[in-house]
Amino acid sequence: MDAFLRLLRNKAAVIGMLFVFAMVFAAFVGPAFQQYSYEEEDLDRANNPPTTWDVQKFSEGTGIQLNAADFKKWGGVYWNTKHYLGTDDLGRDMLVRILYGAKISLTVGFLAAVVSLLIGVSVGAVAGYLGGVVDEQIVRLIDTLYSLPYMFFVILLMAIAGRSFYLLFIAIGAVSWLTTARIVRGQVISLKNSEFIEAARSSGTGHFGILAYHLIPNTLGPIIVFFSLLVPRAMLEEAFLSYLGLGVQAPMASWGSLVADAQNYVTIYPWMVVLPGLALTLTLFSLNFIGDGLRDALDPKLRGKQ
Amino acid sequence: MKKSLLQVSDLSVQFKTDQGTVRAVDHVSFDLNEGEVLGIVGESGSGKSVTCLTIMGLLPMPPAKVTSGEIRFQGNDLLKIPESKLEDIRGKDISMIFQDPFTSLNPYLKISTQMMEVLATHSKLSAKESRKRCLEVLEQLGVSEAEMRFNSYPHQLSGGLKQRIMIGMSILLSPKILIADEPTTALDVTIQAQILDLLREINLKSGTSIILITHDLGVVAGLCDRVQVMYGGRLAERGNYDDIFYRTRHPYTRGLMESIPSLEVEPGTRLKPIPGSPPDLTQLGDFCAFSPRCPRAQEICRTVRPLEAVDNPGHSYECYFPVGQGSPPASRPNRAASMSSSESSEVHLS
Amino acid sequence: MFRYVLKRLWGGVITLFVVITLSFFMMRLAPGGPFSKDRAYPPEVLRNIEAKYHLDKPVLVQYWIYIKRVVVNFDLGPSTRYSDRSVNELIASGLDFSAKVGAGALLCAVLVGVLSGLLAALNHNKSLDYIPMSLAMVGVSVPDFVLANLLVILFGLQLQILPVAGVDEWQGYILPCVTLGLIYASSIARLTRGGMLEILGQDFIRTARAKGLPKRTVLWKHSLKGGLLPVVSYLGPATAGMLTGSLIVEKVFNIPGLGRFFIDSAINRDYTLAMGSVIVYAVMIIAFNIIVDCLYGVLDPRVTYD
Repeated sequence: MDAFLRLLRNKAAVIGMLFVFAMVFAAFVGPAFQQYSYEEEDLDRANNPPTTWDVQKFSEGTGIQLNAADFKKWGGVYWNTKHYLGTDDLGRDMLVRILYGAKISLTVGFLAAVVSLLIGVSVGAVAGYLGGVVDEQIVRLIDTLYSLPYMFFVILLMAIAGRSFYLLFIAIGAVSWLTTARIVRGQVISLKNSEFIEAARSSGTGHFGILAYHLIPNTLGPIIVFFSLLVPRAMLEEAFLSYLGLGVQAPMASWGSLVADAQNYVTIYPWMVVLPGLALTLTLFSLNFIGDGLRDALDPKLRGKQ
Repeated sequence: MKKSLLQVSDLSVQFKTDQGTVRAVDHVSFDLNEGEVLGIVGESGSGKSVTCLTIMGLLPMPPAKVTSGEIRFQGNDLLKIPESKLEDIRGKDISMIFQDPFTSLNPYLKISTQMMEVLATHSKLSAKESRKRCLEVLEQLGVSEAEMRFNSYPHQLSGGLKQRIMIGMSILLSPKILIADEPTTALDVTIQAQILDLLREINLKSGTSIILITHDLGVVAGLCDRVQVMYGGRLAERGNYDDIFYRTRHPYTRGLMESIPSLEVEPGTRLKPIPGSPPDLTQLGDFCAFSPRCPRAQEICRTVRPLEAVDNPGHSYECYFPVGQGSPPASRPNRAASMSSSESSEVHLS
Repeated sequence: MFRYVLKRLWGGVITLFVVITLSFFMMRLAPGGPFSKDRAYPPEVLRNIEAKYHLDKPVLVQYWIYIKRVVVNFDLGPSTRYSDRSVNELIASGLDFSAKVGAGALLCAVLVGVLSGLLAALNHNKSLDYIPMSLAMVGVSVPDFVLANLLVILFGLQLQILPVAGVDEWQGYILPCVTLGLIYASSIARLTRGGMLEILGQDFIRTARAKGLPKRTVLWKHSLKGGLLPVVSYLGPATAGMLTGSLIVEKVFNIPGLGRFFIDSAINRDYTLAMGSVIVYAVMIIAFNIIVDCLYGVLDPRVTYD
């Protein structure tokens, strides 16, 4: 469709898509090509940096013994050829860890966004369609929930219950369904009385049919756009929770937990913190660009709305 | 002979847009005399608003550009003086009021603030004196309960009231020229009449010259001494009231006259619109802008822009094949008695 | 206006009740209690301790006791973890730090945000517009812990001019406030720019110029009020966001604020402290939202409260 072509013209969105695709590919297909597994420890090479100005000085300065054979000089800087992105405190390869974290972060983000979408669309569509008292009550519920300090409940929830992977993305998904519901409800209300719905109704389609086959597909545009912005938001929330220790638990690792693990050593081994953080940030950027691009492509009128 | 207050000579204004260069005003010249009401009539896009915005210096100059001409006022070329001098003139010597009173007032500030700031900027009156002056003017303009309105916010007032306040703001300092850009278009008919009466009063009592921009010939008929008709950024015809209404020369002007619904014809008579649509301002050039729609157009109209032709002093038009004169009808609508035409009008019969 | 405030306060009280109840039962329903993880106490001691905290009574009774105590005495109870200190004390001590960081962050966010937004709006479509806005786009997408660490590395490690852990000296507050503030400054900058541009395009600005008002006056007196309205509405969710963000910032910079108490207490099932923290956070969010709404009404005379 021409919407897709419009999307392709948006350079930022295209770059974003390429990046995300590359990341997803690396995360899910990558392990087949990796030299190391994400748990494999190499204590002799613990805390090795990915690059350094001077191998000697680094060893002297930090007390970490670097294996000079590991490093090749290029462009005035030494690069770690054994572990391209360095190692963590247990000698685990950072590149592998980051890609592993990618898999987890992307999966959780995506699933959480799906959960949010499912809840939001159902509630919103039902509220918008049924109208009347049901709608009123649902709107009131949404407004009350909106004013709650949501994140705190999620934190409580995760702290209490939370060593479950499934609970994580349900909890995150449950945070953002409110806005989805509102948007879907608005769309349904505005479409509810259009002609094609009347046609469907008069040809005998039941309520569920109308909802499922007519209304929802026609709200798909804004929903897709919203979904594409939900994913980065969910990923951010997951990173937030994992950073606080309430998200994914060892032995799993996500970008958030990787940063948290190394937080105390940030001034000594900055790469352990910077690299996962960078991966997360770039992925979020890319997803946001894609989302903006989708929004502009599918409906230029949506610009400016959130 | 009236003294000339403002001289616009050979003014041209262009806009750069994605679709091309828009020639909004194309070599237009006219004068405004002391104490007179000049009507500028035209469709949207004819250049009437842009001309006046240029006089005030209110056009955003990046997209807009003045490509020729000068505007002389009190010995200065308004297009060349520095912004600070222009700010002095605005609101004090030349004021402007706009079409939509609903959006022309700042919703976040009280009326009192918006009125008194004019005095604060241009005069040395104390706060108390300013207040007095503002209330005076409001009462003059027929604003009931002036004090209460003065302390209100714009959203609490009706459209008619808002327009009166706009007018009030513009005459606080008794300017020499008041430019009114379609002041009644956004209001309903009964209020329209009131606003026009107000303007007439201002002109009669204070001698303020008024430039009245409108697309409605009815409005012109009640108020204006001289009229100029604009089309496609150019002056189609100009003259005094009698010239335009009874000695119409330009086919476009004639078309406008004939398209006015009149109470005097038989019920059931069809309205006579001007066929065609307004010109694309990016496609204008050295030809008559009206020629695509003109029933009298010939080859030369489409290839060379007509020069200004003069019918009698003060009455000119741009057309190769003007319409013949009509004879004045038996009765004429009432005009304010003290409005004097600059020259005695002689009826020419072709 | 007064009635409106009362109505909102009442709504706030109800929300607070919902918050308290939800968190209370959420904590109780999770397996394990405050003392289940401790080293084994002899059963009699355990029973005594539980009696002290009313844990031996049925849940609903506990709830009633709690509500009564909070509402009547404003006493959030004794902490189960720090057995010799009351929750009120602990929260007060944490709040001391958190409030300072929060206030600093808010100040930073508003100052930087509004000023750069103004700069961008006044130089529309020139470089002074693009540069701040691009930075703002970055700022909006960067996760707080990533930004925090980047700043730590830049200022703490490389340039070595700012302390990065603890707030013993006042300079220790700089990085945390800036980190938290910059993220919201980005949104505020975009909102300011958008709001100002919209106002500057309005008819009444043309009227102001037609009156011969100097450009300065037109800008400050006529545009600012309306232009900043979107920022004011944003302050509500922004402060709520800063409260959640403070959890991260406190962890990165090792600040003994409320956030640390909250998370630890949730993990350790210190019921009273966790509940107390949630209540305090909820009160702050509700209060801010009410204040912001009233502020909006003060600035925009068209807003009516029914």
